[in-house]
Amino acid sequence: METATSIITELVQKHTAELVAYAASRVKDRQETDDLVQNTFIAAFKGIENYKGDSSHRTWLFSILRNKITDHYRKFYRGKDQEISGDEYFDNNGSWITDKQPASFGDEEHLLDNSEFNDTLRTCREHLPGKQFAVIQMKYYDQLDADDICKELGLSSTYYWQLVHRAKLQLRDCLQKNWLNE
Amino acid sequence: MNKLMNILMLSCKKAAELIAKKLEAPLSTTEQMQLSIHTKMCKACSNYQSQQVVIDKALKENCKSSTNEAECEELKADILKKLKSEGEK
Repeated sequence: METATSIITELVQKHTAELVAYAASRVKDRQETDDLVQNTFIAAFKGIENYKGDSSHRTWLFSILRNKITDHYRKFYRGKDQEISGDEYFDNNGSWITDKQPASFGDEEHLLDNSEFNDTLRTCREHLPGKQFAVIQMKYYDQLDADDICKELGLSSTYYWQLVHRAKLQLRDCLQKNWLNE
Repeated sequence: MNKLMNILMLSCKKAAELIAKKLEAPLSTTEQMQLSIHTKMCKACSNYQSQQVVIDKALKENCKSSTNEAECEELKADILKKLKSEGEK
C-alpha cells in the first residue's frame, strides 16, 4: 500500500495541472472539473494493481479521466436530447427577429488580432450551455472530427450538427451584444 | 414560376443553416445557388455569413481555457488528503 501511495502522490504532483486543463476544455463547471480529476486519482489509486504498465502513467490517467467525462455527460444529459430550434432568433416566417439581426462586425480582417475581440469570444464561449460548450471545445480545441465527438458524447450526428449550429448562433449574438455594442 | 420561386427563396433561418453547413461540407449546386441569391438580397444573412467565417477562424486559433496555478495547488492538496483517507479505509 505504501508504494501505491507514493506512486499516486507523485502522479498527483506531476499531472494534476494538465488533467485539469483537459477536463476544463470539456466541462465548464469548475467544481465539476475538480471532482472529475479527483475521482480520476482515486480510481487510479484503487486500481493501481490493474495498471499493466503497457502504457505510460500519463496515458493511463488520461484514459481514466476520459471515461469519467463520458460518464458525466451521459448521466448529466440523459433524456435531454430535445430538438434545438433556434426559434428565439427567427420569427414564424423564418426571418431574423429585428433585434437579433446580424449587424456588420466592421473590419473583419483584423478582428482575429484584436485581443478584446478574442477575450469577448472566450467569455461568450464560457456562457454556452454545457453540451454546446463541450462540442465546440472538442471540435475546435481538440480538433476531433464529428464521428469521434459523437462517439465520446453519445450523440447522433444530426443532433451534433444542431448543437454546433446552435452554439454558433448564440456566439454570434453574444459577440454582437457584448463586443460590437460596447 | 411559383415552384421556381419556392426553390429560390430561402428563409433566413434556412439560410443560416446552409451557412453553418457550408463551413463543414460542400453544398449541393442547388444549395449554393439558393444561398448566394439569398445573401445578395439579405444584408443580415450576408453579415451572418462573414461573421461565421471569422468566428470559425477565431475559435480555431483561440480555444484554450484559463487555468489558475494557485487553484491547481489547492486541488492537489485536496486530492492528496482524500487519497490518504482512502488509503486508511
